[in-house]
Amino acid sequence: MADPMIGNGIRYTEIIEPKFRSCLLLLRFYTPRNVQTAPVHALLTDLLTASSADEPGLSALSRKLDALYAADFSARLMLCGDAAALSFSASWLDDRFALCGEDITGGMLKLVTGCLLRPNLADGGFCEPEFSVCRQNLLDDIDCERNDRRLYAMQRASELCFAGEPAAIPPFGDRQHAAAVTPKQAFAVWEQLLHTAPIDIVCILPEEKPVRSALESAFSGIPRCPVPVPLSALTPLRDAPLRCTESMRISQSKLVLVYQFRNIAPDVLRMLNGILGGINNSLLFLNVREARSLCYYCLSSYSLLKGVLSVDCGVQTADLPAAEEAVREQIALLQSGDFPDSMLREAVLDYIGREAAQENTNAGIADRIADGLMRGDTRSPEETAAALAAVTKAQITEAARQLTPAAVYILRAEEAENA
Amino acid sequence: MTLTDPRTGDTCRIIRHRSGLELRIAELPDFRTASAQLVTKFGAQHIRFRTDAGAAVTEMPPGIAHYLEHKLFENPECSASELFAQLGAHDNAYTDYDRTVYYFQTAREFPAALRVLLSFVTHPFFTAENVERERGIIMQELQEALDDPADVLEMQLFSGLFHTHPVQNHILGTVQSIRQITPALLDQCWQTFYNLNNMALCCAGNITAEEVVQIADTVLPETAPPMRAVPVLPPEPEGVRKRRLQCSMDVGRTQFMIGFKSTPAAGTERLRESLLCLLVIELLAGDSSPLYLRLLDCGLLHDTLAADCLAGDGWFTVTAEGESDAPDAVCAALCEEIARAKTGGLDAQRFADCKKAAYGDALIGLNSPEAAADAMTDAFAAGLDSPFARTELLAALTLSDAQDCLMRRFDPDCLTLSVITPQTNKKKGEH
Repeated sequence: MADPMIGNGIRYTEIIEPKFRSCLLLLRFYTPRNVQTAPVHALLTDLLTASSADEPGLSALSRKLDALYAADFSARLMLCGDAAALSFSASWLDDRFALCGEDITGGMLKLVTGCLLRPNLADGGFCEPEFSVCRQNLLDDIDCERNDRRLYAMQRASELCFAGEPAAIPPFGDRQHAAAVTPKQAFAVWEQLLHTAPIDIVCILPEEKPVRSALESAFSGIPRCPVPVPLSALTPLRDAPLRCTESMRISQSKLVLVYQFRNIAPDVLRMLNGILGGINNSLLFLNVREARSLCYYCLSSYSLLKGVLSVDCGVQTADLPAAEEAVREQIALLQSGDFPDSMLREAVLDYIGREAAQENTNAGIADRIADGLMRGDTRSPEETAAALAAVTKAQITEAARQLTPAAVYILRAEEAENA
Repeated sequence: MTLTDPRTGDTCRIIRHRSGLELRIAELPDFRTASAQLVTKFGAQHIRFRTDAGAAVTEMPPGIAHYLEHKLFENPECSASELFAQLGAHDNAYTDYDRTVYYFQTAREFPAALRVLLSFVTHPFFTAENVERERGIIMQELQEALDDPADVLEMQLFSGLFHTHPVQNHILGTVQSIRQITPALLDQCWQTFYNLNNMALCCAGNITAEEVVQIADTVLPETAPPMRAVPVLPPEPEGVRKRRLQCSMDVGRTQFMIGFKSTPAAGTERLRESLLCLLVIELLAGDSSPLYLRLLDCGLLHDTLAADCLAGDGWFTVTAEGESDAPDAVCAALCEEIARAKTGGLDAQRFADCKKAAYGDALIGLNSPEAAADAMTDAFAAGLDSPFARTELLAALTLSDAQDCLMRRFDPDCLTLSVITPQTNKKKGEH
């Protein structure tokens, strides 16, 4: 087996999967975050995929990607507990489908390493007009966070629940700090990341290609002194749940309930969340949506890194008390073990189905591998499924009893509803 | 009939089942899952129809196709979703303007899941009580859609582009129309359009055509009555109903959507025209176009200008949407660019690059069971056989075709601008 490290703190995983017609390269840079660096991290995901010294300006890179058969190079910011990952993804058509024998893989490796390691610079900072355009995009993104009402409510609930912790900082950071970012400051943050961030690279190829050696060579010129990034940062336990109601001129109110826990094993938590509101026929779906028609969606999710489980739904304002009560009733059902045994089997089958579907795309496989590396869980999907199948109802019930209310956030529809 | 994509070797078998249902199957043995989609050519735009050629026109409340989609999941004993969950299959459904699709994806027990799919869609169970209960859920879905700026922007655009075409109604209907829907109306629509001769089953993944046929044999009836119903579309005048529409919502920035209305097309011609329109709008205003860079440079446009081509029976439009504090100026700049390209011609090198990009997209886009099932469903709904037609048509397109399309389908006198401006709205907190 090849050494997984291709540089100091740079881990490389490669999978050959002949069923795919395209190649995928995923690069994740892990970093702590604070109010100053949060908007810079978001800005970098846009800026570093907009141009490079090889392809300067705002259109050269797009043209190059078009000429490489709709190749894609994009990035997103992932929040991981109190930390973040700048996640870059490149995908391109396999060379065997090129109409004129072009070396698409070679072109993409040059493009990706150029963007990340040879950005378009002037006077020690990122060049204009790319910098100003990307910063304006960031400010627009911050202004438009409220456009997605559901995500906005979830974000506001996080701000309420994690106040004072990095996890409370919105994904794009705040407007004041975003507006103040300079080209030099942004490049300094990127240089720091290049030198110190733990990096995970995952590559999914339909056949052997010299990707590893190309990346090893490209990164060898970067002085590296990686600093570990702690991801798990449990939020302190609350004595009493926090409560916040805000209003917005919308038709449908949003309700988010956040619960805390301390010691729930990951597999038990996955099963608990599935039964509560993660699988198609969860308790929330069956009892809050289908039986009582209170909402169109009612789902649960969790963060092991922060030690919280959240339930969110969209409801008519008049039904907010009933919906909140109905959600609490479902938690109580979990705590008393009053749910059918068949739901455990369905939760395992749900996991197996989702994992199998994820294997249908190279991006899905890369994400699974990278997420596993991040969590330190390198089990195969089959091993995980077996572990989930071994979780008992008693374990779920016991875990559910750990759930204590931490926060309730309501985004209240301001105008009279039409319905 | 077996169709093969010469570029990839992918195949699609089309079999007319004795029941009338069309089976479209792509065997993809390298994948771990299989997908099945059961589609009927009954969508949100089919609110007027004749049950046969000589019958009077029947009118239905807007949103009835979507309501029917929700209600078919109900069985006397339990919901179809519960049966899928017991098998480990992920199921769902959607309603579009021209179709309703019920689907599942699974890594195991494909035959049992397919039986559930074929069974619940062909055995409706409507009661006054269960139809009434669903109304609350659908009202909540509608409220959510009415809070979504992207949804409102498109709905407003369509209401400006079209005079009479039912595509101007929201797929979910309105609060009033949803209230009018009864078990009897749902049953009438099901009887009329859920005729197996009007439907197809599209399956892709680690399955075989033989097992799909075998399951269809055991679940479906021997025959179905001939499909006699005919959708009726009111005559749609040329030109747009309104050139500009605006509303206010709680949004971060002003959003806009421009739509160019042009002559409807059908079948292969619709697909070819859609591909051409997407190439032309990319050349005119895509991320690497001179116009896009100019708009960014002078601060008129924020981020990207996303383009699409939307079309169906009796309607055709090319759209471009984005964020700008001056949407009218962006619209004017796009019209100027169109005028310039009509006289000066489109850029040949960029046409070649954009065509390459579209080819790459088309090849990668079919590389999973879900994508293959989607492509077969799209082809059926559009009246086409081949799910590979996109790559075949793309290969034959020329710069001259694109120039011709520009002249025919980008008429600045036939456009609507839809705008959403931000409301002044301060958050009110009570911690």
